[in-house]
Amino acid sequence: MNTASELRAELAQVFAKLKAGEIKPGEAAELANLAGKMIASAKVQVEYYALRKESPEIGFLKDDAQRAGAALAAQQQGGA
Amino acid sequence: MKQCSICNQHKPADAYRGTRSACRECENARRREWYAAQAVKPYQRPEMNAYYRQWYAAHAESLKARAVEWAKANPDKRRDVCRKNTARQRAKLSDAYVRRMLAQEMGLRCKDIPQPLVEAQRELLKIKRYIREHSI
Repeated sequence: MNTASELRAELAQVFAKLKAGEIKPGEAAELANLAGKMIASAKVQVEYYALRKESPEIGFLKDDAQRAGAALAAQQQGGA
Repeated sequence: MKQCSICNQHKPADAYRGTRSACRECENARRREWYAAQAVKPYQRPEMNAYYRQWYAAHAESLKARAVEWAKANPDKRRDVCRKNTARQRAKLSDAYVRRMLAQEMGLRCKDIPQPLVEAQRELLKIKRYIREHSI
């Protein structure tokens, strides 16, 4: 799980399983707690850069489309 | 008196639009039928988007001024509208609500919150809500 989009997908799966009764609320709470820590660390990163008035790309918060675009560009550069 | 070409009733001249052969009532009914039959309403057509945007850009200032005026004149109604909107956003966990929540926590502006963070936070809130609502 390297990006927020992947984290979101994982959380969506957990939510679906929780609703279906496949996992217990306690287990889901643990996973949610862990996800909360990851989100909190991303928040700190965003806050830090906002305070410094910088806007670098944060890998964890890159969109899938952005990542795909960057990967494609890198591939093209490598091929050229 | 003039006879309507649709309902065949004799009606005075002012019951017609100009020199048209159908009376206002029949024309209105026909238009209503036509409008209801449209799957995509005229205002929903993509080409209308550009027109609405242009119209809004031309009238934005006066519309905003009117809204501010209305809010000043009707503080109670305004409060109700805001409460309803917030309740709806909270129930739906809309982008705007989650973004505002994160922005308040982090002391930033809403526009500084990245979209992937909003989406991940929304899923997390869904799980937390579900657990809270279903715990004994």
